[in-house]
Amino acid sequence: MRNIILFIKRNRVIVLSYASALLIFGVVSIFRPGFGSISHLRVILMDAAVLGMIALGQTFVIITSGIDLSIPWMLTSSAIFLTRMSAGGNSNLFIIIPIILLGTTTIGLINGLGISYLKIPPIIMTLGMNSILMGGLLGITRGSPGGAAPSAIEHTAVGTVGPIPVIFLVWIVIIAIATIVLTYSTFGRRLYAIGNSETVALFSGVNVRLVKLIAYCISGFTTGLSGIFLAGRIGQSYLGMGDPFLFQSVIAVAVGGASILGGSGHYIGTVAGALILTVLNGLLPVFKMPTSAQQIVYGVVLLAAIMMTRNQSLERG
Amino acid sequence: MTSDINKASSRQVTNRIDVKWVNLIPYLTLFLLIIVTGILQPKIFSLNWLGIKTDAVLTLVLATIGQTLVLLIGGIDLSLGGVISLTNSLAATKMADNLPSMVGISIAILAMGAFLGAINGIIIVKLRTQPFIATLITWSIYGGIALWVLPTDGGNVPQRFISSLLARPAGIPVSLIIIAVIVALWLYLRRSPFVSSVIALGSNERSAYLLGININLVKIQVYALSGFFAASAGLYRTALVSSGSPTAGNGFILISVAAAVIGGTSLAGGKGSIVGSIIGAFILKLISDLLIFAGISSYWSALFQGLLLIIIIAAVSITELVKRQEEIKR
Repeated sequence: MRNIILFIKRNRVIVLSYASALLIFGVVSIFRPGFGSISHLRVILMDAAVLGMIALGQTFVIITSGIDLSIPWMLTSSAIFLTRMSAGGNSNLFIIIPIILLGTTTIGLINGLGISYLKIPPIIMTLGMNSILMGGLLGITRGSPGGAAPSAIEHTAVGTVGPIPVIFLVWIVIIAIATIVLTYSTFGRRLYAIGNSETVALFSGVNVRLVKLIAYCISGFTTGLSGIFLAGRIGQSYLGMGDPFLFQSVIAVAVGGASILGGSGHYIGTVAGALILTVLNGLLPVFKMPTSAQQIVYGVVLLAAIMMTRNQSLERG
Repeated sequence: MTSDINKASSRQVTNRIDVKWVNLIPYLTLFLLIIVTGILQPKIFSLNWLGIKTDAVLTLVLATIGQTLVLLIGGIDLSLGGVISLTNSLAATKMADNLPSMVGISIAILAMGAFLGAINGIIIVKLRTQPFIATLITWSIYGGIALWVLPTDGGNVPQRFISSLLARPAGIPVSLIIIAVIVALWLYLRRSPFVSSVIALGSNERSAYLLGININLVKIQVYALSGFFAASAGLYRTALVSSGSPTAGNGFILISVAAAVIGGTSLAGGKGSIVGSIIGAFILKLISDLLIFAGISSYWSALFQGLLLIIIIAAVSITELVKRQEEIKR
């Protein structure tokens, strides 16, 4: 019991994020009974899993006090290449998927090289990369959409094992790995050290440039992976499909209690952020709200969520 | 002994030259772009050409000026996209074709922009939210209000409003006059107490506080100014495009940051200039013009813009790194 209280005290922000996700979900379920049904809950978990995977790379990068704005078009690139190269078939997936992951990891590597070694500000480097990917993809596809996702990917993304979505199980595994890396590995501790103070980390013998480089590579890898799942979840790929995730990946991390200035936060918090955002996204069809009202409500609720977490962290000093 | 002093003083001089050289990069880039444009299209330069360019770039210039002020205090304003969308939508729907309405609504819109900016400042100061997150959220809210005002692109803009902002009194474009006035104001105000306290705040918040600067007030004022400039960008876009769009501003958010950084403004705060930002905006405009002239399909243009953005910033960054290396060696 004492351990539990201690855990809550230490991780107030994260606990509060989960509480807000549950609260919003509960309140909406009371007003709209179908919202809390098992089938809808399954949909929410699937969408949250995709968003959560997308925000994983963003979490790692933000902990080092960087940011990855190239996520939207990295996602789109991954999804478009998946559908174009496979042409909807499953036969070559075992070679296509590694190629895609290698490609997005290389993009992350280039981001990391520019940021770590040439000292280009992360916002500019990743924004420029986003623009490069957008131009490149538009040029290659001549503006035509990508096509249908391979059925194997689609089954993985929307299928279930018993009552539980497959993609949610994949997410659980990813959460476990990310938690172990961030909490128990040397690499994880170094990420926080760099986010708190690069100078101190450097004088403590951390290879700051290399660790930052790896963080951007991880972001490239996980974004590539998420793009494959996103294509499967939607069932097809189209240009601009990644655009909403610029806002959502950053906000998921921030709502989960990470400071954009680096050195704090945890993927467990981002998971709560992804859940809150997904529940909010579900409100649009349920209440038949126009996009305008949706966007305003979205902003106000997120502001409230962030206010709550901010005040707590201030109290903690 | 004397040789040492000589060495030291010459070192200081070279350092000063190095510093200037970095600051000159935006001007050199613009100069180079103008020369390339001149070689490719020899007879293009005229007052009319300049007018077309300044008309086209003024919206970005105004947005970038607001962004620069915020970057100077070490913040960032992503909500200016929402403010531009909202003011553009309002101006395109609420204006009637008579002088009192046009002037009245323009003033009201500018005041609203300053108010929306001040809200950003208050959220950042009072709730101690990071500017990136606070303005990301208000962007969503302001953009939502814009969609509520004007659900789809359109609106009805009075012809006289359009013609007065795109006019050429004595052959000189209004947009050029606006830019000239802003530059003159900046040069006049550059050493004023307000701008000094902005730069002090951006350089080191703690020492600014110890100097007796009311940092919270200055922050709110700067965000209000950014909102004001975003609103004026929205107003000008209304005249330029002669319609409204609830998503008009979204394209300006990150480009305004890029233009400011190309113009020599530091994202860390405390360093930058309005004139540099105006140069930065023109550089981006000339690059996209050159890409069109080079016959590059519009599909690929984003690729080259991104590439050039990274190359320009990398050039600035590498120059500074080399300079620091040399300093360490000495």
